[in-house]
Amino acid sequence: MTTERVEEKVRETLNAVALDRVRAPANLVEQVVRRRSRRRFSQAAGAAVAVAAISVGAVFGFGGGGTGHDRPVRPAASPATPPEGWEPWQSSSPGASERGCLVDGSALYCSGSEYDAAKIEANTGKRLWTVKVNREGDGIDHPFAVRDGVVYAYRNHTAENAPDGDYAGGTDLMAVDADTGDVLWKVEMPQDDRTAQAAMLIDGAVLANTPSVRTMSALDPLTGKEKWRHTWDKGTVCQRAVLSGVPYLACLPDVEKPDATEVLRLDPATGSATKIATLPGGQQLMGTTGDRMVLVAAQGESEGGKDLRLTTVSGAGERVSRPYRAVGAPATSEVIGDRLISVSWQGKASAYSLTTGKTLWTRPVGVELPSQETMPRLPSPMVSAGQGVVYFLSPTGDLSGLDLRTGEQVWRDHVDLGKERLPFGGSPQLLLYEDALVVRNGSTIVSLLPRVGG
Amino acid sequence: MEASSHDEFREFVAMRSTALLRLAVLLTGGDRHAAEDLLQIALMKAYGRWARIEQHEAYVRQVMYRQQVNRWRLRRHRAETTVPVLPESESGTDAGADSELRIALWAALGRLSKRQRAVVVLRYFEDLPEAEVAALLACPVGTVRSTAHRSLAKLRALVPELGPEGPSERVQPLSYTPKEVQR
Repeated sequence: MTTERVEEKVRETLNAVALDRVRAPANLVEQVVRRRSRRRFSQAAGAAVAVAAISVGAVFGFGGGGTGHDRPVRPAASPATPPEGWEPWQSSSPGASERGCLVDGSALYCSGSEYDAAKIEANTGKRLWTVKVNREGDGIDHPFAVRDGVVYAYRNHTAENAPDGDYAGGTDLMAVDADTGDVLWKVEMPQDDRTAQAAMLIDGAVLANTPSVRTMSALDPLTGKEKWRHTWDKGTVCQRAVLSGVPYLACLPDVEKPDATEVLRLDPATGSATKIATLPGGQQLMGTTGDRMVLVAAQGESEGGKDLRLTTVSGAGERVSRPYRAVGAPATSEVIGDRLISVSWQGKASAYSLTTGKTLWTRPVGVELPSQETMPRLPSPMVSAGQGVVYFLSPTGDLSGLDLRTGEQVWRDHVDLGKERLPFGGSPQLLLYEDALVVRNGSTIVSLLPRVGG
Repeated sequence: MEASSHDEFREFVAMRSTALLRLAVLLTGGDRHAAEDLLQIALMKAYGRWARIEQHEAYVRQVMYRQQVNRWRLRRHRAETTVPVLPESESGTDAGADSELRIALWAALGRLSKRQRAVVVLRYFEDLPEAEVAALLACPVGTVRSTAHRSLAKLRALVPELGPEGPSERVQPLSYTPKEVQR
């Protein structure tokens, strides 16, 4: 048969496929919206997990591998102490904070619709400097780290239209002088991934997912120049974590049912890889806690169900694996020290000990949760290590503080979040500046001191 | 997303999602679950920048093509793999061997790689010239040409009824009679 004839047969076949029976589901929009929110939420939650673990891991850590007993967090929730020079404040920063904020030192570093980075004084809410967006600013990305006077954030790679007339700006990782707001360097990323997996700080470098999607490169923090790179095989996906400045990869084949997940340690100075553990099945990295990674996998045949297995892996490859069953339909979860704090859509908060594999408490979260259909993403809870309190924020502005040890509600309040519409996938954000809370909804930011136990 | 854009997105999905899903079915070789997954991914990406996209359908289609070619996902969402949709038997003259050939050919299309199937769908279902296919997939025209060639060769190998590439093909036989000769 000639090529033309074969082409014709292919054409006939494609056009003869019984496509009349193919109909899009009626609720496709809802499916898309929910799925997009879930994805963005889980990605954003990953960032929060890592940040939380860094800030409180030393306080609520594993205690040298676990003794089989839960270490009491504190005798009871303690009064909040206002940061030095801080007064309650509320500010509106249109264009500066809609995408989200990070607290570091006595400043908020935010991103918004008009500025890819903005520094805001945490004591007063005063804006200090801004970095204008490259054509536009959307999404829920914001500065993800500050170290040695350098802020790391993302911006669009280009302001130009694509040849077809559409705009797809691409993404640059950029470093900004924390004192002046000057952009020090930028590096193009291979995809529009601005999650916690895209770039992270390691000892002496910024580890970034560039120049290809299968490569992590260590960039000089002051110049952005590549120091080393690690590339994995095609058909493999690698999740990334950092323990005490050392990068790790949890790699698995990109197939429906992976047989195993390999955990590799990369030398932060040279990038040389060492396999430290092989875990069964497809493991999903949840975050880090102290000196351990936390991974989760479906248990048995319950894929998609609630029966899970949590595994912690130390930097030396030591692992502890425990069964875990989610309480209700999970709306958010955070690894905070030894605890996995989860909130269900049914309004229950629970604390699970990674050390003992036991659920320590399940309590009403203390704020009214929205319907999953209307607000598929919840603000991440925050833990005050000094107070021993885990704080929750509802999208309507209700605040609740639960004793981290018992789950008992020790504080509640409400802040007016205004009626600002958030960008898609966005939700209000709860942050901690020492013992003070910072609540952000779009461009409105409120800072208050929770009166706990005093 | 602004409320007006959300409404516009909803209207677009209501109007075009079935047609787009049908294209996705072809791109995925008839795997309905994978097709819905592909369409959802494309719509998710479009949703995020809806107000800034000038040609919504072209954008969604392009994302589907590229996604299918460069799929990189951490987690699979497919619960099961469906049997590819078979070509309908047409009544009349095509009901016999021709229909059997189409069934075999459709099954073979399902065994092409994602890149090969995307090129085949773009070339022979969308009827796009090689240059447009290359632009959509962000690859050189030569890659499209060689991929299409290899795809047809694989189809020949999978469907013996198509027969081997005849020697006459290498000299590009005329498939019509030039008017000059007719005169």
